[in-house]
Amino acid sequence: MADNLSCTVVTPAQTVFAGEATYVGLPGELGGFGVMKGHEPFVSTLTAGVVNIKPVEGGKDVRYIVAGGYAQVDDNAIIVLADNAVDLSKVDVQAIKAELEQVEESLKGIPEGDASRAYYLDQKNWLNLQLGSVSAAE
Amino acid sequence: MANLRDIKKRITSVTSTKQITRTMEMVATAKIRRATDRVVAATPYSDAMMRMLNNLAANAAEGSHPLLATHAEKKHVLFVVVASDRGLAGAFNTNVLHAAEKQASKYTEQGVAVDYILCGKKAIGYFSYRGVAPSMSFAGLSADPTIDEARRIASFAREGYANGGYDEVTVFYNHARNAADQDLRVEQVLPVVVSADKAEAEEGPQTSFEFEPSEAEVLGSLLPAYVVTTIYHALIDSASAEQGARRKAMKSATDNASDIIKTLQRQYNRARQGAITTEISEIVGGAAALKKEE
Repeated sequence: MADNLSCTVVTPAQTVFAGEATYVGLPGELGGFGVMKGHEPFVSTLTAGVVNIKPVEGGKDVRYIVAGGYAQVDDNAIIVLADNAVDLSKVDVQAIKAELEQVEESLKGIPEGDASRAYYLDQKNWLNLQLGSVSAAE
Repeated sequence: MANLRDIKKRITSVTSTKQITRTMEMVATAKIRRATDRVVAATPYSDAMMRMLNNLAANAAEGSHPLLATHAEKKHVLFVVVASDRGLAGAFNTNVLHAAEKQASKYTEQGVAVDYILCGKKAIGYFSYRGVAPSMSFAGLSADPTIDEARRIASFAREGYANGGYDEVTVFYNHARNAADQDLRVEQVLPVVVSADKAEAEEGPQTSFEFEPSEAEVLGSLLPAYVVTTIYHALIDSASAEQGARRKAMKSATDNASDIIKTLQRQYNRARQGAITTEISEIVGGAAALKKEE
């Protein structure tokens, strides 16, 4: 059995992170929690927040902003199923602000109660979350 | 001889067609790789999600969540039809479109209204010709579908279903069985069907998980994500199938062109040889006639 926790962060589109970690901090729905090796089999929903991974090799923590999702811990392996995930150190604030404006623009054109509004509202939340996480980290 | 020139012209024209089809074949071959990579990249997520959903299957009694509940009456259904933006892919588009139309006319007979979400220019063209106004349509994304597209479709379907506007959501798409063969797939997305069989089919004993905050709540948030995953999977699978279908269609077109060129070349040679033979015999005949006169 591995001495460390194998950690995988996946989004519907791709695998974002895969590697060994000594500790993974997660934004659980009932509050943040951390997972180390030997954790019990466990499933939790995640809220929007930051996943903090301490790599085995040491060095800086790897941090991902996730827009909610799930974490499944089983047999010293943790799988984070994120609805959307982005590396905190790679967020481009300018690009996000521009995108946010576009989303606002599109929202104006759609009447209240229209089912297609849901997508833009989700998008808006996600963009705002990225901005918020970046400014909190600074 | 006019015939000779006609044949030459046809050979030239078929050769340039062959060049085009061969190029398309090669382009499709290159794209298959990318499309397959995308399916592979998406697999860990959907696998993990299926596993989690199956772990919850015991708790997933019908009616425990709006997306699991079957509506008592089927009056209004939503079809998500996934076709391609470009043609020249054999029966790829027709298969999906005919299946969707057939199902729709069956429903219409029963007095069930059908709404459409159309993906791909071919689907949009096909249905708008038949006077159908889609609820949503996506063009220009069939070869490179994005998760955003899937989210838009999913959130539309989910809201519609939860509000009671739709009583069933079905997706029609081509599944890439391998690089060469495609199967038509018709999958019911909503209400979500959690099959206990799949959980049983998995090897080994099931781990019993702790759920936080609670099983019901995990399930509640897992289901909408599951809808997105299903639709996204249909889109990327279809994109992969499209390239496969196009490669196959273009390969047989290239082969046919080669055959035609061969036949034409033979005809051309025969006609040319015929012309030469006629000329020679005319010269020989003429020379012989001159000799006699001497």
